[in-house]
Amino acid sequence: MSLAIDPLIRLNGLSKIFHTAEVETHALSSIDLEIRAGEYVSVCGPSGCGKTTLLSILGLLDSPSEGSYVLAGEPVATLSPVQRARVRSRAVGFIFQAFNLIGDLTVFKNIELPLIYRGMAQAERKALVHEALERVGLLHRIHHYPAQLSGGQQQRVAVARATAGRPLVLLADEPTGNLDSRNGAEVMELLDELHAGGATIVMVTHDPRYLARARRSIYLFDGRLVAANQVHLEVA
Amino acid sequence: MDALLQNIRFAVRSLRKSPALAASVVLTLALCIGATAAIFSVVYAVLFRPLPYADPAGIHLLWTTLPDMRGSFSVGNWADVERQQRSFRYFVPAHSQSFNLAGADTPENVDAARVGADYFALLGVTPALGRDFLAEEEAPGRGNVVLLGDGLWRRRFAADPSVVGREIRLDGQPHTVIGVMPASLDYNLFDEELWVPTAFTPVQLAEHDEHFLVVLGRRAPGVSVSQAEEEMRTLGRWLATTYPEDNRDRSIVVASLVEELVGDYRTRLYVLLGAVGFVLLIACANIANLLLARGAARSRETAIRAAIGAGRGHLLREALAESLVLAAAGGVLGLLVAYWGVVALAAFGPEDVPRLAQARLDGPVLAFALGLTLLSGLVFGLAPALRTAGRMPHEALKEGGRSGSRSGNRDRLRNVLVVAEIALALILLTGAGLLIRSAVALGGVDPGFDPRGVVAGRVSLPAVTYETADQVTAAFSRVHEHLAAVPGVASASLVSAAPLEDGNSNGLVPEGRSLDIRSSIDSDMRLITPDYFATMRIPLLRGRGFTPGDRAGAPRVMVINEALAREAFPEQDPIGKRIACCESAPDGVTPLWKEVVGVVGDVRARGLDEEPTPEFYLPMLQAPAAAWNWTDRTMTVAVRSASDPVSLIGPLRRAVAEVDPGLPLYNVGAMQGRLIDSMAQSRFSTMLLTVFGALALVLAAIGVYGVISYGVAQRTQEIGIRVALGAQRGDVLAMVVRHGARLAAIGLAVGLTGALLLSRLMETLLFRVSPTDPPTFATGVVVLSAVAVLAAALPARRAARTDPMVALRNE
Repeated sequence: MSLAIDPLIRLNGLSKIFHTAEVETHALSSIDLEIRAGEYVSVCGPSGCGKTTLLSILGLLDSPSEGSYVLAGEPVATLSPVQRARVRSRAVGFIFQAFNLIGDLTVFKNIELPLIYRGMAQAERKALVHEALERVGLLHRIHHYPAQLSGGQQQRVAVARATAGRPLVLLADEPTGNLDSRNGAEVMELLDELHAGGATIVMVTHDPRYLARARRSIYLFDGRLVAANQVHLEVA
Repeated sequence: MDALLQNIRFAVRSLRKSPALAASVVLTLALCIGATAAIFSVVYAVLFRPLPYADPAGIHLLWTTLPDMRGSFSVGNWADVERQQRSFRYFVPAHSQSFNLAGADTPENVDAARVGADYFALLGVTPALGRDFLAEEEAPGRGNVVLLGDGLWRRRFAADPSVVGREIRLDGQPHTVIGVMPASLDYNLFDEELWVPTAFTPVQLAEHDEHFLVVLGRRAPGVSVSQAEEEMRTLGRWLATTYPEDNRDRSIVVASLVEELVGDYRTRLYVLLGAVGFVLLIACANIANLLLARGAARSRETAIRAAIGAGRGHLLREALAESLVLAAAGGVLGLLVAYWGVVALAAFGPEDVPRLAQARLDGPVLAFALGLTLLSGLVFGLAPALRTAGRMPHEALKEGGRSGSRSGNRDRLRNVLVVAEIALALILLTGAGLLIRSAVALGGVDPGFDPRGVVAGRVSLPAVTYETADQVTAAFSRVHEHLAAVPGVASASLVSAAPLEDGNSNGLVPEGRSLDIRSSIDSDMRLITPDYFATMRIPLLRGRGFTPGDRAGAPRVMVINEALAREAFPEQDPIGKRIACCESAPDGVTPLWKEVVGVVGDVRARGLDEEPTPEFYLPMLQAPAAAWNWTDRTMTVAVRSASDPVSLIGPLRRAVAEVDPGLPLYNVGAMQGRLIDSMAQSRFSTMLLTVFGALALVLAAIGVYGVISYGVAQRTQEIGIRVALGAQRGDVLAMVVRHGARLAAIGLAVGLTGALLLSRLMETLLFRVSPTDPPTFATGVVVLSAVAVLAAALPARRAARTDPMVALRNE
């Protein structure tokens, strides 16, 4: 089955090799992948299969050793770190397993941070932060510090931070990994709502309960893509 | 005890695993404790070591004072007061004198003192060999006895005990050695090496106009200082009333001997001790920061200890043991540094600082070093120890988990330490800067003469051989001729007191004013040969200098300096005016006027940092007869060389010996060297404070670097997150440097306040520089700011290279 609309993300023959003095590690091998705008994709596989590496390349935190990566029609595989940062701040929202909020900053400041890096004006930043917080239901905590919030609340703030700048794609790395089932469910609800609102989401998860929330699953094994349900993938 | 030893053993084992940290701490401490102890040894030797006298607090120096100056006693004043006073058990006169000591060796001029027979009884010191003076040896003709100082006895008489009873010649006069004073008498008023008794004649005892005596008094039992002062005030008023011509407005002041001897050095030494103490504090702050980081890194170990039963006290003692082991090691090594420091200070310190040569690592200094070591250990060890002991163990065991990244910025204690370091460093830098500016200002001062190429030395004529004024002037004239004939001499002259030598003060009365003490202008007198101004290159501003025709029998003339011209003849041309001074006609009343024939430029005769005072010059051949007594028949030879002046010293000595083989030329040296030496104290303090300031700067930079570096390490994950969220390298760099700059700004604000307050204490050490000199303060702020920003920039660069992937690793 071929894709009728130009995909938001297209990977062709993408590989990532880590070199040390003695060993060459093929973290990813010849990945071909297309993700359309508005899709909700989950990535799963055993530990060490390359999920985080894939996410880091999708999020422009790292660059591939081989292959191509086109994001919203722009080739981004060979960008410099400075160029990657610029694209990343505009196009990518990260949600981490460990929340990774900055403890010294209030909720408002945490969410505002990526907008500052994009060079937005203060008034615009303020409006977007309020909107994002309202979306996750935590406007009343705007001046609190992360240490004053529960785990679930912190992760929702992290979601707000990731979505405030209206990125092209949301990347979530085990977003419920540090949460109990109730909070985890709340966060997953939130992601469902975002997807329903048109967000493109790529989520790494081990939890079988949440795998099926995505419309499509990708299975990695030893750095390679294996066939996944509902979408036809080419395996090199 | 067992627990203490266990703690120490464990501390040593633990420190062995961190050799770099232990070594850097111990070396830093050794340097700082050693330097502090070395400076303290000087402070102790100069200010605190008991004077070699019994109960020094009971000994006083007495002065007579006029409204605007302090002066000595005349013989008559001393005799009258001594007869009437009751406050002092001993009330003894003394004055300096030098003698030509002849013997088998070459003749040597020796500094001596003429003292009352009770002098050593007053001091509470008895001779090590022989006996003290007897009361009857104060009578004229009975005083040909001498007590030798230990140093002279060893140097000149090979420590031969049989010197007692031997006859020696002082200025050609036979004197019997009656004893040798002990080596413990190592500090004397006039730096004298021998003592002879005063032998005042009845005429002298009735004289109230020549003031040259120093008077020492030991308070009688039960008499307080205020009682003694009150009695002296009363007797001063009696003198003024009884002898109005010589003592109008004169009063008597009682001063502490200790304060008189060391008071001038107190401020300078305390500033140095404070400065080196600041360096030690900065080092302690650095070490505290290191130990805080070490404590944080070992928090898991501490948590485990707590979990298995260690109480807060145990943890505190264990943490403190490490600090004290480090401090002890630093202290021991510091003694080595202190030893060499004391050697260097004694060797290179200014010669005129009293008792500097006696600075050593003795009991009190070692006790100070020990106390300092313990205190340092507590200062840098207590905060980290309290923090370690106060950690909640479950927090540490839970760490690495959930919430936001732990921020290095929020470690307030470390930030406070760095702020304190920067503040202290600014205070030190400012102090050093003020002294440097002072030294530069001093170096730019025109001394009023040209010392380059000039060599100077002293010649003293013994009274027994050169009794009359004619004999003295004839002898000095012959000396002058012989000196001028030495090959290589461009110009030779004689002067009764060259610049930087103690002169003779006289009261002058310009014509037109009333002839009494209230109208007199206190001026320094100099007897000179006609070529003196040319030799010293003192500019002649008006009129003429002296000629060979200005001799006995010719009209009396004088040359005055600008300062005296301004005071004696304000807004007038002084040439041709007349001044009365120094002598009167045979009737004892009519003044002998001297015509002012020339005005010369001011000379900074008392030192570059002292404003010129009124001075006048008289031709040597017209010297009043009494002037040879005032000058102790001593003249300074000042010779300008066509080449290296020092090379003339030997030929000059021989030229003087040709006139009289018994006459030594002493205190010989290049004039340039004397001028430099006169500023030795200022130069030395400036150098030391600059070294301490530089050390403080380096330590503060290390402190800033350390805190920022640690903060960056603690914030690695946060920085990774920021990069993951879009931060560029510049954003990260700016964030880290801003933190360092913030700490620096607070430290500078605190330091500026401290510097403004403390610099006033240095006011007496400064020359033509205000203690709040804005350029100095601004320079200190700029330098420290730049250093702090640089110190923060290095770890900032490292932070900017953080791999954002660390944000995704959940370890």
